[in-house]
Amino acid sequence: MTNPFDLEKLNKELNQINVPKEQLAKTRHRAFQKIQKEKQRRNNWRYYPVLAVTVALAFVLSVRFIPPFAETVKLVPGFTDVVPLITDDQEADEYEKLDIKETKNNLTLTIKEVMVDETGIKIRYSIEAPYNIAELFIRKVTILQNGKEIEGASSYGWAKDGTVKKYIEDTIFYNVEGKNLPNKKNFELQITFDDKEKTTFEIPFTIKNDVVKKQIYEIDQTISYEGQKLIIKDITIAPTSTRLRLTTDEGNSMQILNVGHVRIFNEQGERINTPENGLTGLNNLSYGEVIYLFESDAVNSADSLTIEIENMDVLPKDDNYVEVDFSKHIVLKQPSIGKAKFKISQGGIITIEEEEGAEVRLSHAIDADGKRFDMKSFSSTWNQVEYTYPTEMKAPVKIYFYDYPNTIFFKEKITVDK
Amino acid sequence: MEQLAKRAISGDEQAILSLLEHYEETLYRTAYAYLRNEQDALDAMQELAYRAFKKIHQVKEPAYINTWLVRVLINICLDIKKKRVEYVPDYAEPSYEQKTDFEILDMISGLSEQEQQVIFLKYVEQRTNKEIASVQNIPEGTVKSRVHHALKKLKLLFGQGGTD
Repeated sequence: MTNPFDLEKLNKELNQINVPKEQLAKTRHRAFQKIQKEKQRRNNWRYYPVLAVTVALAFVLSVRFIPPFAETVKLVPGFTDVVPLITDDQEADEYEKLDIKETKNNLTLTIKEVMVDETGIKIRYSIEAPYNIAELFIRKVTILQNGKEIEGASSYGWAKDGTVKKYIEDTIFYNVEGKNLPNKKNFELQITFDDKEKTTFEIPFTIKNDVVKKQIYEIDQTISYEGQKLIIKDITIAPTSTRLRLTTDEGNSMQILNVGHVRIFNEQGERINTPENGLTGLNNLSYGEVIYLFESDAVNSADSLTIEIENMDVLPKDDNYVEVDFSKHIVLKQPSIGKAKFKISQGGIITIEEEEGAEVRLSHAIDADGKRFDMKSFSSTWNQVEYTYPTEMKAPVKIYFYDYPNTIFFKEKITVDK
Repeated sequence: MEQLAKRAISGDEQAILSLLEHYEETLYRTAYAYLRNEQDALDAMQELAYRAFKKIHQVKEPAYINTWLVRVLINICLDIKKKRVEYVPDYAEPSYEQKTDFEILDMISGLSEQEQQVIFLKYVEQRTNKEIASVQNIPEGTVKSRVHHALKKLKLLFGQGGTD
């Protein structure tokens, strides 16, 4: 009888298998390309309410970029009126010292200082333990006011660099969505770590200063390609962040779903809104506007801002959704452009099989009663994406696109001079 | 290799690519051993590369990076097998020729998912029980008992098959 421990025979059998090296290189390349595309998109994604909105601040790369001269350049003077509102060391001044310390399950959390304005909250804190916490993840961060969660998206976390750490300092950046923060001074930070005990801290804190008001600077410049107008609407400056808002023209025959790239440079051609420093977008154009966030201190130190917009994905306005009946598991209508493959399954699940290079992403849904629903969750593998929507939607349901492979290619720059 | 693993864990994409290339032969052979068809094995490898880019930062110990890749790959292969069975019920049944070519591998595929994983990690990857326990997140004693049961079952399978 053959011995099952016969390693030599096992290895012989394994060595009989031919390894298709060329094909394997292609699989790696495809996976790499997909990840790159997802990264580019991450900058534009709306924060879906059910998703964890952790942006791990992985690496801070110094990206230098010299913009070519041949591009269209428009000058918008008058930025000076707004920019001096933020002085060189304003961000430092806007922080209020708190030094609130709490220890639980061998973890010590200290809220060192906070910065609060109408658009967001930044919390500088430290975490300390008698053991290595370099790989301790944060599961959840919530900020509350009067016991109610402030609606928003947050970024936090630290990069692993292979060293042992028992003390870490980090900043939580909480972007308020929707209404401005009222001028109320009591907050509570709830933060849950991924240690064995899933330690949760609930720390109330009170600020002394008023909540800082934001300043809005109108730009209102239109970029028009193939008859479709994209409007660079305004810049909102507040101590925690600067926001650039883009909207679309109501007269457009096409729905602009998504902008390929939005890059912001200072006068030296240095990119301000690198994806690596945790900056990201709120909302998306299928909701009517998209907002890009970047650091206010980078705006302050710039003499001018050059906003570069590249490419946009569009679909005809009456053809920019997939209509489905979840109860019957059928697709009733899909865009006539492109050949995306949709599959409907039980439990409000819609799966998109992707051809190589295709990029189809879904946004919100509107049911037969005209009620809007956001997706509950999504997951993706290299060749398909699965979305789950609430099951209480009344059929037929129209699901709108966030991204669709029907692109108008262009590159345009607008310089806002200080 | 440890430097490369460290770079990969910290998110260096070139390092992840190099690592996947470095281990591609063993990984591909493992996938093929599970799936017995080139296209499925390539699909599994592509999914592995994708998951590596997304999740490799979760690896705690650079020395275990290959073991992590194998574990992820085996999970992918099992998913593919499950899907395949849903659509074509008899597809997973190996042919007579395959059985002859891959006597031991066929026997391994008769084990439970958990047993297959420990056998691959222990005898194909030649990992210690401690390492397997670490990547599987199970106690070392559980690894020992799974290996023990798997080997016992293999002996039985060889006995029944009467291959000599």
